[in-house]
Amino acid sequence: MSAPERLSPFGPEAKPGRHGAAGGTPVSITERRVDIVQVTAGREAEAPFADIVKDATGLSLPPAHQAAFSGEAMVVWVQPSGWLMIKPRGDEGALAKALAGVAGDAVAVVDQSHGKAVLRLSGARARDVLAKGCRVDLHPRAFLTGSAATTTVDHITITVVQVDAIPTYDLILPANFAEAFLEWLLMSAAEFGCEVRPPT
Amino acid sequence: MHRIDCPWCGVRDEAEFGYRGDATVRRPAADGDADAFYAFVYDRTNPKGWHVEWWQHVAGCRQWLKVVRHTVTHEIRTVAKAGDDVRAPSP
Ligand SMILES: [Zn+2]
Repeated sequence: MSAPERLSPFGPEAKPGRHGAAGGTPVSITERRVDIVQVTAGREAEAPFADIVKDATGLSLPPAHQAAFSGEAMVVWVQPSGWLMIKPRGDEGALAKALAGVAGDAVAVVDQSHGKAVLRLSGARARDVLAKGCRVDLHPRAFLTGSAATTTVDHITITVVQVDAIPTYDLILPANFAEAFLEWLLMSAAEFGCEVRPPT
Repeated sequence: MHRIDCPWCGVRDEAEFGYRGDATVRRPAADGDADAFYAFVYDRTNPKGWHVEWWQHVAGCRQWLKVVRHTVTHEIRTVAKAGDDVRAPSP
Protein backbone atom coordinates (compact mmCIF):
# COMPACT_ATOMS: atom_id res chain seq x y z
CA MET A 1 0.00 0.00 0.00
CA SER A 2 1.40 3.37 -0.93
CA ALA A 3 1.23 6.35 1.42
CA PRO A 4 -1.73 8.71 0.86
CA GLU A 5 -1.05 11.78 -1.22
CA ARG A 6 0.18 14.62 0.97
CA LEU A 7 -2.19 17.58 1.12
CA SER A 8 -1.10 21.20 1.12
CA PRO A 9 -1.59 22.85 4.54
CA PHE A 10 -2.66 26.00 2.67
CA GLY A 11 -5.97 24.46 1.63
CA PRO A 12 -8.16 25.37 -1.35
CA GLU A 13 -7.12 29.06 -1.32
CA ALA A 14 -3.71 27.99 -2.57
CA LYS A 15 -5.15 27.11 -5.98
CA PRO A 16 -2.98 28.86 -8.60
CA GLY A 17 -4.54 31.93 -10.15
CA ARG A 18 -4.98 35.65 -10.02
CA HIS A 19 -6.43 37.38 -6.95
CA GLY A 20 -7.28 40.97 -6.05
CA ALA A 21 -6.86 43.99 -8.30
CA ALA A 22 -6.16 43.45 -11.99
CA GLY A 23 -3.21 45.09 -13.71
CA GLY A 24 -0.67 47.04 -11.71
CA THR A 25 2.37 45.29 -10.35
CA PRO A 26 1.10 42.08 -8.75
CA VAL A 27 3.05 40.21 -6.12
CA SER A 28 3.50 36.47 -6.40
CA ILE A 29 2.80 33.91 -3.69
CA THR A 30 4.26 30.42 -3.97
CA GLU A 31 4.08 27.51 -1.57
CA ARG A 32 7.57 26.09 -1.12
CA ARG A 33 7.45 22.35 -0.52
CA VAL A 34 10.46 21.78 1.66
CA ASP A 35 11.82 19.74 4.51
CA ILE A 36 12.45 21.73 7.68
CA VAL A 37 14.52 20.55 10.61
CA GLN A 38 15.07 22.57 13.76
CA VAL A 39 18.46 22.12 15.41
CA THR A 40 19.35 23.44 18.84
CA ALA A 41 22.95 23.10 19.95
CA GLY A 42 24.20 22.95 23.50
CA ARG A 43 26.55 25.83 24.22
CA GLU A 44 29.70 23.68 23.99
CA ALA A 45 28.38 21.86 20.92
CA GLU A 46 27.84 24.92 18.75
CA ALA A 47 31.34 25.22 17.26
CA PRO A 48 31.79 21.52 16.38
CA PHE A 49 28.24 21.41 14.99
CA ALA A 50 28.97 24.42 12.78
CA ASP A 51 31.90 22.49 11.27
CA ILE A 52 29.71 19.43 10.70
CA VAL A 53 27.06 21.51 8.91
CA LYS A 54 29.72 23.18 6.79
CA ASP A 55 31.14 19.82 5.73
CA ALA A 56 27.73 18.29 5.05
CA THR A 57 25.98 21.17 3.28
CA GLY A 58 28.60 23.78 2.47
CA LEU A 59 26.56 26.21 4.57
CA SER A 60 27.87 28.24 7.47
CA LEU A 61 25.55 28.55 10.46
CA PRO A 62 24.44 32.16 10.21
CA PRO A 63 24.80 34.55 13.15
CA ALA A 64 21.79 35.98 15.00
CA HIS A 65 19.02 37.47 12.81
CA GLN A 66 20.59 36.12 9.62
CA ALA A 67 19.93 33.39 7.09
CA ALA A 68 22.47 31.62 4.87
CA PHE A 69 21.62 30.35 1.39
CA SER A 70 23.14 27.76 -0.91
CA GLY A 71 21.10 27.06 -4.02
CA GLU A 72 17.67 25.93 -2.80
CA ALA A 73 18.96 25.16 0.71
CA MET A 74 18.69 27.65 3.53
CA VAL A 75 19.70 27.85 7.18
CA VAL A 76 17.87 30.39 9.34
CA TRP A 77 18.80 31.60 12.83
CA VAL A 78 15.70 31.46 15.02
CA GLN A 79 17.05 31.69 18.57
CA PRO A 80 20.39 31.58 20.42
CA SER A 81 22.09 28.35 19.31
CA GLY A 82 18.97 27.41 17.31
CA TRP A 83 18.48 27.22 13.53
CA LEU A 84 16.03 25.94 10.94
CA MET A 85 17.62 23.85 8.17
CA ILE A 86 15.48 23.98 5.03
CA LYS A 87 15.88 21.96 1.81
CA PRO A 88 13.61 21.02 -1.10
CA ARG A 89 11.39 18.11 -0.09
CA GLY A 90 13.14 14.76 -0.25
CA ASP A 91 12.44 11.34 1.22
CA GLU A 92 10.27 11.46 4.35
CA GLY A 93 12.48 12.12 7.39
CA ALA A 94 15.73 11.85 5.45
CA LEU A 95 17.07 15.33 6.27
CA ALA A 96 16.42 14.96 10.00
CA LYS A 97 17.95 11.50 9.98
CA ALA A 98 21.04 12.73 8.16
CA LEU A 99 21.49 15.62 10.59
CA ALA A 100 20.84 13.50 13.68
CA GLY A 101 23.39 11.03 12.39
CA VAL A 102 26.21 13.57 12.42
CA ALA A 103 25.06 16.13 15.00
CA GLY A 104 26.17 14.42 18.21
CA ASP A 105 24.32 14.06 21.51
CA ALA A 106 24.48 17.72 22.51
CA VAL A 107 22.44 18.88 19.50
CA ALA A 108 18.66 18.46 19.48
CA VAL A 109 17.33 17.61 15.99
CA VAL A 110 13.56 17.95 15.50
CA ASP A 111 11.85 17.29 12.17
CA GLN A 112 9.39 20.14 11.52
CA SER A 113 8.60 19.22 7.90
CA HIS A 114 4.94 18.59 8.78
CA GLY A 115 4.82 21.17 11.57
CA LYS A 116 5.83 24.19 9.54
CA ALA A 117 5.03 25.49 6.07
CA VAL A 118 6.76 28.03 3.85
CA LEU A 119 5.31 30.68 1.53
CA ARG A 120 7.42 32.72 -0.84
CA LEU A 121 6.16 36.27 -1.34
CA SER A 122 7.83 38.25 -4.11
CA GLY A 123 7.36 41.45 -6.05
CA ALA A 124 8.01 45.17 -6.02
CA ARG A 125 5.15 45.67 -3.52
CA ALA A 126 5.90 42.60 -1.36
CA ARG A 127 7.31 44.79 1.41
CA ASP A 128 4.08 46.82 1.53
CA VAL A 129 1.98 43.65 1.62
CA LEU A 130 3.90 42.28 4.58
CA ALA A 131 4.34 45.58 6.41
CA LYS A 132 0.60 45.91 6.98
CA GLY A 133 0.79 43.20 9.61
CA CYS A 134 4.46 42.98 10.54
CA ARG A 135 5.81 44.86 13.56
CA VAL A 136 9.43 44.37 12.52
CA ASP A 137 10.85 47.24 10.46
CA LEU A 138 11.24 45.91 6.91
CA HIS A 139 12.77 49.10 5.47
CA PRO A 140 16.02 48.33 3.62
CA ARG A 141 17.98 50.36 6.16
CA ALA A 142 16.91 47.83 8.81
CA PHE A 143 16.10 44.57 6.97
CA LEU A 144 18.13 43.36 3.99
CA THR A 145 18.71 40.26 1.90
CA GLY A 146 19.80 37.63 4.42
CA SER A 147 17.94 39.23 7.33
CA ALA A 148 15.69 36.96 9.41
CA ALA A 149 13.24 37.78 12.21
CA THR A 150 10.63 35.84 14.12
CA THR A 151 7.58 37.93 15.00
CA THR A 152 3.78 37.86 14.82
CA VAL A 153 1.62 38.72 11.82
CA ASP A 154 -2.16 38.41 12.15
CA HIS A 155 -1.57 36.85 15.62
CA ILE A 156 0.45 34.07 13.99
CA THR A 157 4.10 33.56 14.86
CA ILE A 158 6.11 33.58 11.65
CA THR A 159 9.75 33.77 10.70
CA VAL A 160 10.43 36.30 7.94
CA VAL A 161 13.52 35.79 5.78
CA GLN A 162 14.46 38.24 3.04
CA VAL A 163 15.75 36.21 0.10
CA ASP A 164 16.62 38.94 -2.42
CA ALA A 165 16.27 42.66 -3.12
CA ILE A 166 13.13 42.49 -5.33
CA PRO A 167 12.15 42.00 -2.46
CA THR A 168 11.38 38.31 -2.01
CA TYR A 169 10.52 36.92 1.43
CA ASP A 170 10.25 33.36 2.66
CA LEU A 171 7.63 33.20 5.40
CA ILE A 172 7.98 30.20 7.69
CA LEU A 173 4.81 29.54 9.65
CA PRO A 174 3.04 26.87 11.68
CA ALA A 175 1.32 24.48 9.24
CA ASN A 176 -1.91 24.47 11.24
CA PHE A 177 -2.21 28.24 10.69
CA ALA A 178 -1.14 28.11 7.05
CA GLU A 179 -4.63 28.52 5.59
CA ALA A 180 -5.52 31.39 7.95
CA PHE A 181 -2.25 33.14 7.18
CA LEU A 182 -2.70 32.78 3.44
CA GLU A 183 -6.15 34.36 3.75
CA TRP A 184 -4.59 37.34 5.53
CA LEU A 185 -1.85 37.57 2.91
CA LEU A 186 -4.33 37.52 0.00
CA MET A 187 -6.35 40.28 1.66
CA SER A 188 -3.25 42.34 2.28
CA ALA A 189 -2.12 41.85 -1.32
CA ALA A 190 -5.54 42.53 -2.88
CA GLU A 191 -4.92 46.22 -3.61
CA PHE A 192 -1.79 45.40 -5.63
CA GLY A 193 -3.07 42.21 -7.25
CA CYS A 194 -1.59 38.86 -6.54
CA GLU A 195 -0.63 35.77 -8.52
CA VAL A 196 -0.74 32.47 -6.64
CA ARG A 197 1.73 30.21 -8.40
CA PRO A 198 1.92 26.40 -8.39
CA PRO A 199 3.92 25.00 -5.49
CA THR A 200 7.65 24.48 -5.99
CA MET B 1 1.35 48.72 24.93
CA HIS B 2 4.75 48.04 26.46
CA ARG B 3 7.79 48.02 24.23
CA ILE B 4 10.32 45.49 25.49
CA ASP B 5 13.95 45.69 24.35
CA CYS B 6 14.83 42.00 24.02
CA PRO B 7 18.60 41.56 24.42
CA TRP B 8 18.48 39.10 21.51
CA CYS B 9 15.94 40.67 19.12
CA GLY B 10 15.79 44.39 19.88
CA VAL B 11 12.68 46.43 20.70
CA ARG B 12 9.45 44.48 20.18
CA ASP B 13 5.82 44.93 21.21
CA GLU B 14 4.59 43.39 24.45
CA ALA B 15 2.19 41.19 22.43
CA GLU B 16 5.16 39.01 21.47
CA PHE B 17 5.99 38.32 25.13
CA GLY B 18 4.49 36.25 27.91
CA TYR B 19 4.68 37.22 31.58
CA ARG B 20 6.28 34.42 33.58
CA GLY B 21 6.20 35.68 37.17
CA ASP B 22 8.37 37.05 39.97
CA ALA B 23 12.09 36.67 39.19
CA THR B 24 13.20 37.33 42.76
CA VAL B 25 11.91 34.15 44.41
CA ARG B 26 14.53 31.48 45.04
CA ARG B 27 13.84 27.77 45.06
CA PRO B 28 14.51 26.21 48.48
CA ALA B 29 17.10 23.45 48.82
CA ALA B 30 15.81 20.02 47.84
CA ASP B 31 15.56 19.02 51.51
CA GLY B 32 13.61 22.18 52.42
CA ASP B 33 10.44 21.68 54.46
CA ALA B 34 6.86 22.08 53.26
CA ASP B 35 6.60 25.65 54.58
CA ALA B 36 9.63 26.70 52.52
CA PHE B 37 8.12 25.21 49.37
CA TYR B 38 4.71 26.73 50.17
CA ALA B 39 6.38 30.15 50.40
CA PHE B 40 8.32 29.53 47.18
CA VAL B 41 5.17 28.72 45.26
CA TYR B 42 2.62 31.11 46.79
CA ASP B 43 4.13 33.93 48.89
CA ARG B 44 4.70 37.12 46.91
CA THR B 45 5.56 40.60 48.17
CA ASN B 46 3.43 42.39 45.53
CA PRO B 47 5.60 45.52 45.67
CA LYS B 48 4.42 48.99 44.72
CA GLY B 49 7.37 50.20 42.68
CA TRP B 50 10.22 48.45 40.91
CA HIS B 51 9.93 44.74 40.40
CA VAL B 52 12.17 42.17 38.73
CA GLU B 53 10.06 39.85 36.58
CA TRP B 54 10.42 36.94 34.19
CA TRP B 55 9.12 37.57 30.70
CA GLN B 56 9.49 35.15 27.80
CA HIS B 57 9.85 36.29 24.20
CA VAL B 58 7.36 33.63 23.12
CA ALA B 59 6.72 34.86 19.57
CA GLY B 60 10.37 35.69 18.92
CA CYS B 61 13.57 34.10 20.17
CA ARG B 62 11.67 32.18 22.90
CA GLN B 63 14.26 33.15 25.51
CA TRP B 64 13.39 33.91 29.13
CA LEU B 65 14.34 37.44 30.14
CA LYS B 66 14.62 39.43 33.36
CA VAL B 67 12.63 42.65 33.12
CA VAL B 68 12.72 45.47 35.68
CA ARG B 69 9.26 47.06 35.57
CA HIS B 70 7.60 49.70 37.76
CA THR B 71 4.29 48.28 38.96
CA VAL B 72 2.64 51.73 39.15
CA THR B 73 3.93 53.54 36.06
CA HIS B 74 4.67 50.39 34.01
CA GLU B 75 8.01 51.96 33.02
CA ILE B 76 10.49 49.31 31.94
CA ARG B 77 14.03 50.16 32.98
CA THR B 78 16.11 47.05 32.28
CA VAL B 79 15.73 43.97 30.11
CA ALA B 80 18.44 41.37 30.65
CA LYS B 81 19.27 37.80 29.79
CA ALA B 82 18.01 35.13 32.18
CA GLY B 83 21.43 34.43 33.66
CA ASP B 84 22.26 38.07 34.40
CA ASP B 85 22.26 39.34 37.98
CA VAL B 86 19.55 41.99 37.99
CA ARG B 87 18.40 43.95 41.06
CA ALA B 88 15.45 46.27 41.43
CA PRO B 89 16.51 49.90 41.92
CA SER B 90 15.45 51.49 45.21
CA PRO B 91 12.05 53.21 44.89
ZN1 LIG C 1 13.86 37.93 21.64
